[in-house]
Amino acid sequence: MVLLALMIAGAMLFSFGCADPAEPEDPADNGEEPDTPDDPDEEEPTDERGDLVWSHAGDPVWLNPVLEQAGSDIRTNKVLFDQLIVLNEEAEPEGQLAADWEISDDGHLVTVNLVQNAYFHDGEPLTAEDVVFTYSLHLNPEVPTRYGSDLWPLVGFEELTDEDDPADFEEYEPVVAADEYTVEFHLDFPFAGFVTEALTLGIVPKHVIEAQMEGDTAITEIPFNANPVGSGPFVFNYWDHENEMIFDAFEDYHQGHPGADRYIRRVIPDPTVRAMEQQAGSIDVMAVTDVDVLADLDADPDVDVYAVPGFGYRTLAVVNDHPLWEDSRVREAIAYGIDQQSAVELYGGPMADLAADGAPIGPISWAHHPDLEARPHDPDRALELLADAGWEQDDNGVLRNDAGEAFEFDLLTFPGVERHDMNLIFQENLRGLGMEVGAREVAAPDLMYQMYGSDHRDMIFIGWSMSVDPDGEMWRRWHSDEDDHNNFYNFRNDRVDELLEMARFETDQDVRRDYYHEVQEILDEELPGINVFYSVSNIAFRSNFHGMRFGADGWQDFIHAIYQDPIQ
Amino acid sequence: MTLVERLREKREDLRPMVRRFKRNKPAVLGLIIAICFLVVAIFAPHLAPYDYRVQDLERRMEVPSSDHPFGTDRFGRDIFSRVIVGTRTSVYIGFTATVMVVLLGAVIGIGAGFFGGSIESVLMRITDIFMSIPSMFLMIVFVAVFGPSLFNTIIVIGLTRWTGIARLARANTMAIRNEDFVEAGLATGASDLRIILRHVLPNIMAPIVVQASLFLGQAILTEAGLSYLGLGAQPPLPSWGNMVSDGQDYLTVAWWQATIPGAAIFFAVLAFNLFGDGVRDALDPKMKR
Repeated sequence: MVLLALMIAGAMLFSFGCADPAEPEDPADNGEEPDTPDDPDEEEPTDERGDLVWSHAGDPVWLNPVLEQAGSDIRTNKVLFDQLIVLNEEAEPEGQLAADWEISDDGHLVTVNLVQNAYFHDGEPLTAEDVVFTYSLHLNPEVPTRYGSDLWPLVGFEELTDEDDPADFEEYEPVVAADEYTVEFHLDFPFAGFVTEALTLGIVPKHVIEAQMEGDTAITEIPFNANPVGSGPFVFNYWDHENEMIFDAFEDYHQGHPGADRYIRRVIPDPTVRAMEQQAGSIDVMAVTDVDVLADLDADPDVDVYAVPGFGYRTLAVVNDHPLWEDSRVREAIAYGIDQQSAVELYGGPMADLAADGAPIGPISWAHHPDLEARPHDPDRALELLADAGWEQDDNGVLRNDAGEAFEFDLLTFPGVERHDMNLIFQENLRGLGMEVGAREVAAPDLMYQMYGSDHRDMIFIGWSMSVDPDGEMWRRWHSDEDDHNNFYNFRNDRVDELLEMARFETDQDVRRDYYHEVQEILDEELPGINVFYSVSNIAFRSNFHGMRFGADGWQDFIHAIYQDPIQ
Repeated sequence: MTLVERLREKREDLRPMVRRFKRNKPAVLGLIIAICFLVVAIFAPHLAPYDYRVQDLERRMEVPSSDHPFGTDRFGRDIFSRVIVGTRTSVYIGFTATVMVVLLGAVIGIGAGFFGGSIESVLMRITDIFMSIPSMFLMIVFVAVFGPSLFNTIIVIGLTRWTGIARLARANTMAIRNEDFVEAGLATGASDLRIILRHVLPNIMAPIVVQASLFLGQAILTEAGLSYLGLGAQPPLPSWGNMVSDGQDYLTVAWWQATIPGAAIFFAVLAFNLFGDGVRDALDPKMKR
């Protein structure tokens, strides 16, 4: 027992040793001087609104919404830059810089009227010219933006984004400043999802960026990217790389003074350390990504954890034209054969919501199909379906077809505790049916590489993300134009193609909902993949904070409204 | 001389060695524990009270009890059964990897020591190259390329750990190579292979056996390390290493998940090391104080 106690103590010491946060860097070492006396190491008296301290795993790279790539860029830019619209809790558009907007009857023109009291942090007014300039950057093939493809319905999109011979923006004028505070978007295709997909881009100041790009300076080289001027509720102040960023409240913000005087973004890579800091009160908000950390925070009366439905969904995917998987009864047998409910309840916990087998659109979206459900765990039904498809157990309980081949494949997933655990449950469930299943974790790039091709036999437990407007993701995954590529299932169904095409060009949301419901009914019948759960984000706030709104694109879209109890 | 007489003579030769081994109490203890592990490994399927694969999600992470003497893991699987089956995995890999290491190391070492010249230069430079590459790095690369499996674990341990035996075999072969009886054998026209098998090998076996018995523990430890990293035995097959890895996240709430297989690794490696030390002391009385 003494030996055991020593081993446990050693292991715990080791684990605590690993969890120590790195020493913060000395701001003086990075060659940058703060432009105000806001030295974070000095204790300052807090004023009446106080600070809002958010912790994240790493630094952003681009403080420019045109160039943003990673999640850390996007979430940081949201506090610095306003968008025309933001998405509310139901993923519906709500004006931010847009006072209102209108879609013409034929769907070819979207007119946006801007609020007239919005200013950039340098005091210049934000006008329609800034909006046009921002969209012209996104349509410039020399600008490495991740959002260019979202603008596909705009007039002249193909010509403007032709990398070899791009047309002039003025030649097509897809985005026009009708007057100082009115912007017109001209569409080649009447796409109903345009507002939610394309009007959620951060608006940048034309006068600053144009001046910095003079003399053919590439946009990726301008100082703006690390010292930005936005129009959002907080103003960039100070950046101690890989340690801390400080943003001051923008007093002239068009929606009123933000609820906090400073927004501080602190880098803490280890989720356990983040949680300890949160419980100690040195950070106010964090995203919780670990089930055990979540349990600790949930039990703390000084911390409130908010569960927010997300767009992610986790699915078991197979290549449908592989001989092992081409019979839909086999795929349905898998759905009955695995204990999805236990797996999700036990290992996804509050971070997962059991998904309907064939319906990838989760409850957060208006296109969610409420009548579809997960199949129950029913091994007998699974064996019946397998027998119908020509697979029967031999004397040793091994599932074989008429040719005597065993039913064997590997179940692959990315590394991660919850994926690992669910994978092992499914492996054991399927072994019970007589299948020989290996469970393997594969590094992300390898898994993506292995996914494509009709000779791919293995099943992949993978997470996808539904687009805010269902068109993007539904088309990518299920339209036959995308087979052998984004539709790596190689799923081909003429009716699904037809419905996706009609939904893309229909402007009436109710009609589109019907189309997407029918698509999901077909998917639920054919089961090209088996959805296991819809993701749920968990955000922990110190309980003295109020006014949070959890929009579909993140709580940062509504950060200006967050305030805390009066500081004593 | 009949076979029976020859065996009797051999036994007489071994008698002092056995006597010295028996006097070494830690070594005897090591042997007893090692035998226990061997017995458990051989009869594992009969000794395990539950199927090591079967999950019972209603009984997750139960504390040790009469039903489950070592408790259950986070899938409700019986840890006692999994430790028993894990013993088979670890001991099997330990023995087979050791055999591979001995064969590979002995062939290269004897070849270098016996033939000398350019053959020795080439073989020993290859040995130097393998010794200069961090073995864990080589193992991880090998498993990443060829995939994790029991077979690949044995191969990778064998391919990365033979250098010590090779150097030992070479040094001892060089000493034997200059003995009169070897020269005499060569003078009578006996083939190199015959001389190696009849004269060299029997004379260098003792240090190699000692090294091999010490290596057994190291092989078990290496397998545990690889499985801990997810590169050894693949689920649902248990090995002590992957059981420690699976249980480490629950050390504060279900200590038995990681500490019991951890203790098994500790005792197995200790037992084989004590046994190896005992064999070395018994074979080489000069080393005994």
